[in-house]
Amino acid sequence: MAQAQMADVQDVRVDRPAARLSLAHVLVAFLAFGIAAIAGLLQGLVRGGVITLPKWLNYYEVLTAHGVYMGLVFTTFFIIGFLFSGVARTTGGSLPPAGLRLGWTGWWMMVVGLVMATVTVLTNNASVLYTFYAPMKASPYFYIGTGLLVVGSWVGGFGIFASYRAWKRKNPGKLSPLFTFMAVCTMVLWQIATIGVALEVVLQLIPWSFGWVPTINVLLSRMLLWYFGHPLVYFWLLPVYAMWYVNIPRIIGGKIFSDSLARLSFLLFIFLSTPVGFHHQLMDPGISPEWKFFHVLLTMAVVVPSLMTAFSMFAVFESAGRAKGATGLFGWFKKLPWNDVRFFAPVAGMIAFIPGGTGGIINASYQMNEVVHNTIWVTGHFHLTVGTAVAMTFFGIAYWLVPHLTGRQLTPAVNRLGLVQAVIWATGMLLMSGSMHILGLLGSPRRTAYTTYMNDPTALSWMPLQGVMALGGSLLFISAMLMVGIVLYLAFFAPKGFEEYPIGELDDTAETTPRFMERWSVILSLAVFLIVIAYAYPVIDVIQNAPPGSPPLRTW
Amino acid sequence: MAQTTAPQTQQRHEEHTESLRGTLASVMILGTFIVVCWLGVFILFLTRQ
Ligand code: HEM
Ligand SMILES: [Cu+2]
Repeated sequence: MAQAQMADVQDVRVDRPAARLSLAHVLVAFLAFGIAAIAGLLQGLVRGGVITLPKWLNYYEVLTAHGVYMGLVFTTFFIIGFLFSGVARTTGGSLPPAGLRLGWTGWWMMVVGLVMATVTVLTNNASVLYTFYAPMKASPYFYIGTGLLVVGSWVGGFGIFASYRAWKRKNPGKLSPLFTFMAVCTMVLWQIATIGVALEVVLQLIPWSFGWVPTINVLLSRMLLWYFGHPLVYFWLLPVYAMWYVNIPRIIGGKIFSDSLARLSFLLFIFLSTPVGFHHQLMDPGISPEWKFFHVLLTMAVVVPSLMTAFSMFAVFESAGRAKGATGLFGWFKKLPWNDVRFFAPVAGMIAFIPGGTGGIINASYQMNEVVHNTIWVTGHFHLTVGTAVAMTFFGIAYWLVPHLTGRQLTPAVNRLGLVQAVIWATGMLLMSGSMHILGLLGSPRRTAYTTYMNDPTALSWMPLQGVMALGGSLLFISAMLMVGIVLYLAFFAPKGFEEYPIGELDDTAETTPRFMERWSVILSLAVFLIVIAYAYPVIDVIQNAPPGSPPLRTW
Repeated sequence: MAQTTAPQTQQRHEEHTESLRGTLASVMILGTFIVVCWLGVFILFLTRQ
């Protein structure tokens, strides 16, 4: 009986309207991913001295395209598409009309914004890199385009909130499904985070780039950017953690380890991921050391929910392995489904996240940031975190999500090809990110086209590793093209059938989840409180004691 | 009756506590890795002062 019921739960299918909305997001994501991978390949080859770009193509234009398409477009579209599908899947299979309407409105806004930003980048009028630091100035339409992308994502988030409320109204007093709760947390965090960048773009960058105001307060603009910049990385990470907490247990034939622990870690991210932005400005002037130190402390606190997640993952793996008869200290390791790409790709991502997260702790260790600041170590760091942990989990999701949405199947052949794709990505990243880390420690700067600094011996000694970086980048490119091909195959050509949308179930012995975890007024108040403490004084300070304003610069 | 069920419960209990030994070992290895890497860069930082 219980068995039959369980089978029913796994038979739930995301219905057509919700599937179409989700798929529209996922396809744009992988289109952007494919284009950005070409840019990434070019960067690797240029830096390695393998190729020279033609006169009409500027390295920093390519780098901007890569950063914006990977870091903002691929991630945001994929995340919203995935979250919509999971909300539908865990609330009965469909989205309420309001959810669909808002979802599509958001999608269109994001697409229009994307096109605007693309045109300005392609015409070389926005080579300001994806952090859009003032006083480098892009065309105002670049800021309006990326602004639309952000506002569109808000509207998508409202669609998720609307779906959650509709479920709550139908199920008064009940605890929301874990995935839906996580989707709401992710979009709440995103709302809080993007306020900073929205203020920067609307109040500072747009008026200044149109020439309505002559100068800009650079210090304030950087503060607002990094108010957004750190929670941005948790916006990438939370959907990945949702996949690890909720989908992976089902894929490996295990159970969710603890519903409360999972929810608590998401709440901690809402509290702690924003009031930490100064760890990106440790070398910046204009912020006093005490405030930097305070943000460093909170940064170390936000490591905790990630460690909780690591513990949970090990526990899920070990319990599942032991239930299958594993013995000894690490026998469970062998019982895991290593030949299932739905498992293998995300787990390769988890493994990369260990050095990735460790690097993050090093970056944020105040004075130690001096060792790595603005070196290509940092680039190596975030290619492990967002470029591997996040990206490979997205791959792992796509292998079942896309066929589920289109009523097709992940065939054994595609599964095998997927394993190859994942292994190539992991190998390429090991080479590229590994050499970036070493190069960074040796002093090689990031965001720099090919140069030997007039044959300086130190710079020349970097060249062999730059070559390894180029090789790694080439492997990554091959893997990326395979991935895009597989997504298209799964969406339009794979054999028809039913592909399960794996949702983990709770252990029967699990404790009940405390209800305060869904008291949003309390949660939001606490989050705002921490932000005010961490930012109110420094922001007022840089406004009242503003540095001389800067006119716009075009560095390219 | 009571005698037959009691040991069974105990056994299951034991199995449950034993079952996370690997997790403990794993998180210890993870922690050690973080500390070793951090110290490595810290030493580099000191030698470059
Ligand atoms: C085909 C795979 C990839 C290759 C070959 C690649 C290569 C590179 C290289 C060589 C750089 C640094 C160039 C420099 O600083 O001079 C770079 C920067 C960057 N990459 Fe990637 N990457 C890949 C995938 C990704 C992914 C999956 C993401 C994120 C989802 C990502 C996000 C970024 C970002 C945000 C930057 C920084 C741009 C900036 O400094 O403004 N990359 N990439
Ligand atoms: Cu950060």
